[in-house]
Amino acid sequence: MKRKMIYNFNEHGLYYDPALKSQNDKDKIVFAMDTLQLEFEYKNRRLLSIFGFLPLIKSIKKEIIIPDFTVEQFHIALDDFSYDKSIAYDFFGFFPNSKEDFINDGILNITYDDAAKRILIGDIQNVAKFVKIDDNIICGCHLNGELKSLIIQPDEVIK
Amino acid sequence: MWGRNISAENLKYSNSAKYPIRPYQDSPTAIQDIIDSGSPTVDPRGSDGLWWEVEGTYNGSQGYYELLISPDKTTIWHFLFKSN
Repeated sequence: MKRKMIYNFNEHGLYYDPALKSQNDKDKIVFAMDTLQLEFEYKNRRLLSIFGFLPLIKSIKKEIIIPDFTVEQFHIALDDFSYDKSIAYDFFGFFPNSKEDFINDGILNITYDDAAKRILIGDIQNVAKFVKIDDNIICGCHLNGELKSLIIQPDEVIK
Repeated sequence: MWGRNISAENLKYSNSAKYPIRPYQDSPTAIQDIIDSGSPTVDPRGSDGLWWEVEGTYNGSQGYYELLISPDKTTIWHFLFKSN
């Protein structure tokens, strides 16, 4: 069964149905961008899912056009380290160059397109490449592979 | 103190805060300790929730416990140990 990504305005949160399973049953590592969590497969560093508290209250409200993209996986460049599956690691502590694209005045830089039910986090300008990893997530990347933006298209939005 | 009005035992998790389940999320004691550590602050992201950020350790790692509870004090919107 295909999992469904849901954004719920009542709890300001992004999640999946069926729900993600326990952190302990697979080879996964979570990085947190503020309160938003990005789950990666540790073995090959590919992005698997995005979830967590993501209020759109302070977001810029405007149209978000989907850019040209390729369909492939997004991987982070991460040296091996002894990680704890139950801990979330600060994304910008590991990837400091992405911080200026994603953080504005101490919170995530978010744009929301209410008509398309589409969320943009980070900077969509000066992105070298967009990669669509699944039906819900497009990653905007720098030439060197660093993450510059995320376009999130939930399957369902609950108001 | 704000925490005196909130019992961790009575809190439920929102869908986005509940999964994936982490061991410390099943501990009302840990949640109550955070609540009782001091008054919450305003959520800088603009929600009406009650926000705590408390320095701490987990399994030997240094970091911060982040806790956000809905304004009606019934639901955990966010609870995470974030390593530095």
